[in-house]
Amino acid sequence: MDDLIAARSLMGLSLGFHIIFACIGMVMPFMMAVAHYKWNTTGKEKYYILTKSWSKGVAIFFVTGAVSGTLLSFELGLLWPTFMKHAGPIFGMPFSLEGTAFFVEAIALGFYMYGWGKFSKWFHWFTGVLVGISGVASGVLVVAANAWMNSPAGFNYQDGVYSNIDPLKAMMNDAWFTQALHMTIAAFSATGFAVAGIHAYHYYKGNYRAFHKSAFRIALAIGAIAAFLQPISGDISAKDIAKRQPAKLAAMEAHYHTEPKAPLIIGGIVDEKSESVKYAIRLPGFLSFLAHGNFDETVTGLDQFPKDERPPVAITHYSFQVMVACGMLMMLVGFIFIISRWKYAHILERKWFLMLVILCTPLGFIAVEAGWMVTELGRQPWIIYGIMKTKDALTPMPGIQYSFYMFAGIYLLLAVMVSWLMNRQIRYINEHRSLPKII
Amino acid sequence: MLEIVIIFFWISILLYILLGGADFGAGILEIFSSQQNKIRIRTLTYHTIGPVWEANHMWLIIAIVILFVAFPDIYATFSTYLHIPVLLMLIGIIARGTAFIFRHYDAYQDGTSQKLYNFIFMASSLFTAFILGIIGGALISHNIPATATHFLDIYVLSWVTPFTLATGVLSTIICVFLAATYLIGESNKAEDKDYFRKKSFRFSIVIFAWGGIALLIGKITDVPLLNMMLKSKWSLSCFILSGISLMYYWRIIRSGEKWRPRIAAGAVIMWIMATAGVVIHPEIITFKDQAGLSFYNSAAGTLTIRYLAWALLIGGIFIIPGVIHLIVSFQAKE
Repeated sequence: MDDLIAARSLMGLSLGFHIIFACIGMVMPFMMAVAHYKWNTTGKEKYYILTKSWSKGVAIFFVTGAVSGTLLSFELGLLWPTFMKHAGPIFGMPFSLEGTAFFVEAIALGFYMYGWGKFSKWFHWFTGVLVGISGVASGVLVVAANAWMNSPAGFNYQDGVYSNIDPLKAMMNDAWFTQALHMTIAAFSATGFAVAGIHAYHYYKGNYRAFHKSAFRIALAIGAIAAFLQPISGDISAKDIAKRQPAKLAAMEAHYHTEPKAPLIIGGIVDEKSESVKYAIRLPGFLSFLAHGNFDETVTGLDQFPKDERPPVAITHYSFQVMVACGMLMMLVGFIFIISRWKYAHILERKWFLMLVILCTPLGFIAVEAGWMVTELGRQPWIIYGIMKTKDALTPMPGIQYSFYMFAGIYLLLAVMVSWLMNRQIRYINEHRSLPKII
Repeated sequence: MLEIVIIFFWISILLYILLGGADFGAGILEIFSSQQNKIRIRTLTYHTIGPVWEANHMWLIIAIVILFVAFPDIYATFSTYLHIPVLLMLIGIIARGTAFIFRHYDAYQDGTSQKLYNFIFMASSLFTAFILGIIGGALISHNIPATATHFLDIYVLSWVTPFTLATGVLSTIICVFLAATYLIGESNKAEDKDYFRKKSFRFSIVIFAWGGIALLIGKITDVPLLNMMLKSKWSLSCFILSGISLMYYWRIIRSGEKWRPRIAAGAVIMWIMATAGVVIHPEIITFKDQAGLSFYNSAAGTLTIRYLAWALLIGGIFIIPGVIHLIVSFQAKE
């Protein structure tokens, strides 16, 4: 494995791992707060158990997210020192604000986790909400830094010199709003569906039903609403990318040839050599419509870019298809849920519906990972779009592949450990119908 | 504005060493205790360090963010030459953080898994504290070869020297010392207080002795630190102040009080760090064969510095009262 591929794989792996924990860390506090609200207002035992067990989930995911985030803050320098040397002062603003948001989150979590019975019940509840708010703020700020890589702003660049640096302008770059919106909604739908799926499974199996039923409904309500909002944000993103990063859009759609009335290519097998897509469904004019809001408009194809400035097409296209497919499915299930909740409550008890929710458990996170691949691979070969190439940012340190293997092992182990731990939490509650004791 | 950023950087580093150090130390202390005392330490650390430990960890991230935003050259150089120890430190941090949280949140507190978490927690506490000391030692010892071309010279021998190994051991001892001193004030039982007081006292002697040995090793292996320290009146004053703080600590440690020994112990460590910092001032990363990097010769543009300073000041308004409130709320009840 050459060092560039190894470094990119390691970075991708670290971000792919961190993103899951970050999403859960952003959304689960809100679920916990909903359950806590119900406990405060109804006083039903099941809500108390639910709040506490979700809060443990929050703590576990928060810490794992925090350590993987720490890792990332160092990894940027370990792998891409040249990038950080130039980019640090420009796009660092959101990171320095994120530090505060994260600190507030950590402090609020300390109050929340260890504050049972120590504060007034609504103040205590509020610290839980604060965990969620500051978590979302952290996420939105970190996305600003990534958005800057897609849409560099706040400096002048000439002959390798970066001048007139304005970190505030850099933070307020064009891609921030669309990316942050899309990511935040994705976090809500992914976490909502994942948590709902797990509780639906236990409900289906007949374990401690009152508990799992409430859990599954709170989580799915959050996931369903988000799944409905996501296509709107997706549309805003597509139009934005068409304007700013036409090469990325072309790779997402495997759109090789610049043409008016461009077709939307769904699925298919991309042949990068002959620059064609086989066995795909083509909807004429639809790509023009999605990109520019007009069926006749010309959409820039990959042929407008020199070969060494094109992103990898096949993998970007497939990732995009996977993301959209997962999103559609979640929207469908969300739709059934909302309708049933409103009028046909009996559907929520049906086996097929529970089965469907269980099958949706991983979909949101598959979509998150696929979407992440679209945005990162679609930016290649650039690390700062149009300014610096990824290969020029690489560390001189050799042997990055060994770091990659080692961290791949560590992440795998952590993923297994966290899943195992979560499973034990639920098993305990199913068996004892009460909370596990802590030393 | 640059001064504000630099002050925030040093405050973060100091707080990470004092608070984070006590946190690492609690893990290391477990290793050097009998089975019964291990449980004593565990129960106490869960109740006192548990609520604040995530916040402790943030100081390191703040320091790193300051580095890469305001002093990108220092960050890039640091992460290139010290790639390997930084990687090792990260592994330690991951292992420690997850083991700590796993052992408290595992629903079934049964034998095997708890044993595993404990082992990982203790081992990674020791390992990470040691590596942090090595990194610190490497930065100050004028040993990083800026012009070398061979892999071993650049990436390994830049941080593996007798002196850095000595600073690694020193930082480990410092962590244990801080943890033991901190835990005196958190114990409710006289027996516990006594136990931590003894530990704290013993480790203060070890710091004194090992600090001398580390300087001697530096002297023998031609690390220019000792000579530079003796020449600079500022660093010498810091060194003397650390000595005075240590004597004050020895005077009051028997009292078994909560705050004065903590402050004294913190002061000892703070002055030791200040001595090292002032010796290489204004440099932050020292090289073997050329002038090092300082905050002044590698600062980012004025606008970046100005915004960062404001972000830190505004952040401080949120963070500092929050942290204080958090620590005070979870103090052991007298």
